Amino acid sequence: MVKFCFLIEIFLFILLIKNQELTIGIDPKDSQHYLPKKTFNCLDGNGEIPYSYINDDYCDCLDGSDEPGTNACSNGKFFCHNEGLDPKKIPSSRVNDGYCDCCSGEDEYNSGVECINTCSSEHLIKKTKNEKKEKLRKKGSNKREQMINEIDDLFLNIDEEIEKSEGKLEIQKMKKEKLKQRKTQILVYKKQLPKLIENYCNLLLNKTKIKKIEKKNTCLLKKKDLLNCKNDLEMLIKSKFDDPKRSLKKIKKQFQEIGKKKKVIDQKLNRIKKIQDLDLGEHFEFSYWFEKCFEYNSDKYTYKFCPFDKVEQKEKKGKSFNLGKFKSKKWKTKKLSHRAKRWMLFDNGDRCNNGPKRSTKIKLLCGYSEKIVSIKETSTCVYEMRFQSPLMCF
Amino acid sequence: MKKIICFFLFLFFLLLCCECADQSKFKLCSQSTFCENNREIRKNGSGPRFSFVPSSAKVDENKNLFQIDLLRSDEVEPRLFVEISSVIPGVVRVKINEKDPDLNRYEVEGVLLTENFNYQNAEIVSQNEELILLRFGSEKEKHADVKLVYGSSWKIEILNSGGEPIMVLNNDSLFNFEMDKKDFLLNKQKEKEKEAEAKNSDNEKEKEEEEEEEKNQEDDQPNYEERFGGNTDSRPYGPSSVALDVIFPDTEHIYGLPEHSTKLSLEDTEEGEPFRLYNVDILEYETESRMSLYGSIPVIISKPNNQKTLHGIFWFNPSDTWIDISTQETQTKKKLFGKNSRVSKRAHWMSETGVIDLFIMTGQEGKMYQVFEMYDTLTGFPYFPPSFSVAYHQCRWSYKTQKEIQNLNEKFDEYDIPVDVFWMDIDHTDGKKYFTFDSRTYPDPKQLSKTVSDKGRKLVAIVDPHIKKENSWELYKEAQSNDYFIKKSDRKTDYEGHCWPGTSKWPDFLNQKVIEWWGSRFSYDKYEGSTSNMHIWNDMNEPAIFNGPEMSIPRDTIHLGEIEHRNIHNSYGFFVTKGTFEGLIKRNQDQNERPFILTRSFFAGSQRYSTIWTGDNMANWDQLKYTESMLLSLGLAGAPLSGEDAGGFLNNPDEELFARWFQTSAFHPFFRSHSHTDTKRREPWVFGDPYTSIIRESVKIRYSLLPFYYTQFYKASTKGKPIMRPLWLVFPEDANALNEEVENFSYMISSSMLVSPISEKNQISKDVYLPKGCWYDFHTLEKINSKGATYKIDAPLEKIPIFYRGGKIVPRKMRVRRSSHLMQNDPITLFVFLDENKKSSGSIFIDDGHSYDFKNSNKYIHQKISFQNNKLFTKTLNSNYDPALIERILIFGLEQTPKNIMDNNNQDLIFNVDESIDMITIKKPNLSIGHDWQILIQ
Repeated sequence: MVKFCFLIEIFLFILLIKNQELTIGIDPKDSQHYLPKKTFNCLDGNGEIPYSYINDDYCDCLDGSDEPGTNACSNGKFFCHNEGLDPKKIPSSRVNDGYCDCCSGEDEYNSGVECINTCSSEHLIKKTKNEKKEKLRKKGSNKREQMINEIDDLFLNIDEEIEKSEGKLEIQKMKKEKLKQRKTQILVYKKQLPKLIENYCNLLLNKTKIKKIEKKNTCLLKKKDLLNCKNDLEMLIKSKFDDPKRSLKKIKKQFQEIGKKKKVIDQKLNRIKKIQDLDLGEHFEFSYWFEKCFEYNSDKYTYKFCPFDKVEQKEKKGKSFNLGKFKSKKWKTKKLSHRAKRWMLFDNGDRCNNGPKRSTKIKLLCGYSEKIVSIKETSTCVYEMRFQSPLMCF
Repeated sequence: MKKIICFFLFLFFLLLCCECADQSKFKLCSQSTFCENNREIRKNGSGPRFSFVPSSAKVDENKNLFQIDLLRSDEVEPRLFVEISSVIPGVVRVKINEKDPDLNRYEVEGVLLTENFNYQNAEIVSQNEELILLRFGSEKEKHADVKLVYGSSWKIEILNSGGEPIMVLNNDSLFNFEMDKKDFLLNKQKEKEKEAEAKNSDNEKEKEEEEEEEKNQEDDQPNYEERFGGNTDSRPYGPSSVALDVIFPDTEHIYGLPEHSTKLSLEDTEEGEPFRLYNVDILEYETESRMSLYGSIPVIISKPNNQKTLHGIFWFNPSDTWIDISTQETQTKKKLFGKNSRVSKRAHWMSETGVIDLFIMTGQEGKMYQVFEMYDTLTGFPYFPPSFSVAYHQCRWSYKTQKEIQNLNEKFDEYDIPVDVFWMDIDHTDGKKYFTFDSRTYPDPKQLSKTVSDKGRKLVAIVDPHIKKENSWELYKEAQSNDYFIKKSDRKTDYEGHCWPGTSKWPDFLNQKVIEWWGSRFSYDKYEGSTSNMHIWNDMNEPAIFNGPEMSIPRDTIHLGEIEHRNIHNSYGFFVTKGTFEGLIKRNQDQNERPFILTRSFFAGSQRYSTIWTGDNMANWDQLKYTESMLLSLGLAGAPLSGEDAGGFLNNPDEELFARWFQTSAFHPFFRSHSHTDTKRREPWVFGDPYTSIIRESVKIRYSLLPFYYTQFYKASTKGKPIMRPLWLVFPEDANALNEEVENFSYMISSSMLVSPISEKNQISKDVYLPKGCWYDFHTLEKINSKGATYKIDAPLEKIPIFYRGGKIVPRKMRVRRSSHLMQNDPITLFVFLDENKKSSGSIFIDDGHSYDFKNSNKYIHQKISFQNNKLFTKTLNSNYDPALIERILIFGLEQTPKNIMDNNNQDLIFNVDESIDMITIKKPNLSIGHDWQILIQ
């Protein structure tokens, strides 16, 4: 009996070992499907095979699920446990191919290649890297908060600002209208004035005429007097009352002033409206880049990146090229999380010789200072720039 | 004012030049004096007549050379002679040269595999007033008969065993052998003598006058200069062209003369330009054009009507060559039934200079591939490149930094697309000085080499033959001090031209010392940064020169021994690859590693040193379409290792074109993606799915077929058989295979698979002609029993029509890894496709994939596998290498469900049957390639 128990024990032990071998490369999530049974059902439900077919180095299931631990199935996946680091799945074709893919080296259990377990060292590297990154992110994130606090009210109250400006614009319009009315009045007055004067003088002269009729050379007097009278009157009006010319001049000046004011308000309004269209982030944080440019010097060129406008390349002594006009940014405000990749696209720049129109892709990264990190020409006249900013630290 | 007008006119012309296609840079026949002249002769029948001098006929007993003189009708003394010999069984060599030349005509050395032939026994069988019948070979085995017909103009017929002519030389008296300058001088001499006789004077004064006259006459020498495109060719030796017509009797189809982007069957040219063979760098070449391209193989393969054989003619002349093709219909009296007219083809060969040296390869009935073996015996069998070169290559002009390649090395894995080789185009060098690396962009090429080799991958670096003129560069100085460069026509100063590095010079590869020197530059200590993991790409070796006539080197430049370049032009690229090949062999101490070389320019013989690609093609559907006939033509002319820039080098392919291109390119012997620097990025993942998946699938199919392809490469290197074949080569009895659509737009891989590429936009099905027999759809494995008919085959974006041929066994490796090297030890799956008689056969070759051990120490496996009488069995030809396990055997088309399947130890094998596609799967039969075994199905 003891003997028998012993045998069973040995048998179970062998089974255990065998089982371990049999189930290499299995994702723990699926491990319940690989429990020792008479048969195994391919995970996709297509086919039932003997249990012994699992990891027997021959592909039976169409989905490759019978060979998680070998390279027999072209579409299989091998699960690296990578203890001490994140587990990952690799294509079956990389199992026992002589190249260590899992940091644990568990993928090369039968290729003759001895893998050095790099999980803990990689973990350390990753940890320090992450820590460094996290530190940077935090630092950047604080800066970002600070930046958000400093954002010009203009950007925060866009709608209000628009209303305000539109109100101002309205006032100016009204002023202009009033001025216009006055101008017409003056013009009418100016037109009528000589007639009035003449009429008045005539009237005046006619009165004196009776008295002087008895006197000699009346005619001469008359003309002269009329002229004198007019001149005198005009002088009088000019000195004592509104001179229409002067008034017109004044009005013109006032018009100009209104125009200037309007222009300023218009510009502001346009700018604000542009901002409104742009989607500058949840907290309007990207307003920081609005109308701003960043420069970068390479051996041959100076690059200029104006976030919502354009990218430029200037030869050290010579021409400059437009490397693209702002087209879009590739993220949505709401989806901003710290993993999402963020890009800004610029296209339709100056045309290359025999080539396409220049275009640039900007990859936005988290960093404490705002600057261009690198730029490269991925293919002729297609550029890729990396730009860092605290605004990208979340 | 005039100046201004002139300036504007100049500008205008400048604009004109830019506007018109590249074609204007290259000569038309009418712009080439000798081509124009020889064409004129054909039109007017105005050529000189030559006839045999029967009394001069003799056989040199020692060497078995037959010789006979040729006399020009207006002359007394024969100045030419014909030499006929058989250098190998079945190959007749006909040489025509000057008897007693003042200046030897140049005959290029080093192209033929050997100059010491084992001449076949020559014998004059009969001789009468009209003809001589010459026989080569032993009595038991006569190899070839040659009939010389006297007449007013000489004629030579090469006869088949039935006594019928298979080729006729000078049938139409287009033979020409220009000796104008000499003629001119001779005529002058005669005139002088006559004058002297007429005057019969002893007056000394007159003598003096005569002498003066003589001087004047010397000054009177005609000017032979030829101008083209702002360049002047001095032609100091005057006209020396050679021409000859060759008739292929009763032959409708002739092939060859690569490289041209025309249809496979050579078309008639009388109406337009002749086919031209003059190696040039041509950007944006057009399809359907007979203009010359980067390489030349002056070989025509003829397929006589209703016969199962091929003949070939090799016009061994590396100078500028034009060939007019025409069709002749002649009435025949012999045949009482059927057609009483027969169609023949004529090729009118015209070469700028040199001698006439022809090799006529005569095939025997029933032997379709004999001609290739004969040609390769003359010019060399294709080299056997390392196995990685059979896999997928990733290239671009350029991966500008080491980092970029390291990145690719990761990216291909990320997208799970296998790749074996990353290519470094011109920008990896320090200022386009080849044999160097730019230390800023490629700071550690050895590390790079290691990084890629960790994943079993390789590098290929470009090395062009233009040497930057830079006095401080050690390599330049070395070449300069040894006087290794080609000279100008003044014979003193080095020729200088403009190429990638700026002002450059070109090594004189005609000089054996230069070839050795060039090779020595590949040694690891001289080529800093290079490793055994790095192989070589020779580009621009036409040679391409930006400011040269026809984008190449002037013809009057001088090689060693005062040889004018015009004599050797088409072989320059060949000699560059020769130097590279020998250098790559020697860079390893054991001289036991097989090199891989890619070349753009080539000549007859290039196949023994390099793989060829079709140069700077364009990304459009038309070019994709014509790629097939270009590669097929190369294969027929003895250069089976070829491919093209998948995706098209110039311009941007759309995603559909790109995917379609990969689908067919994956079946070409050389499979590489390449693109111009001005094009958008197009690494396989750029287009995204479904395109990336389609590309991945295409590449993976290629990798799974590597055991099959590698075997074909081996066979090509031993038998000279093309890898890509037109259908008619595999099915010679099938007249439909000669149909234009079938011939140009479907091809066989070896004789086992049929591929019919999709080369039209939005095409989702294709009418595919399947010759009589069983065919198995590559994708669905469904069988079609064809009686020799056209089938409409679905071809949605994901697939192109591909069929396995019934009767063939195809070995594959179904575990596709990230590089072929990592698949070296993986088990094999045998695909056994039965024909209508339930038979099948195939073979497999296995070795280490990189060394000459297979040759030097017989370390390889070569095994034949056959299926017959329900038995699958092997015959091992050689088994001196590690056996390869067979993990699975698939048998298609047995049309019966076996009761059991047993191996030779009577062990039952596990199998299952999929009746829907008539497929038997034998699981893990525990057999291997390298051991003999058999399986019995009951």
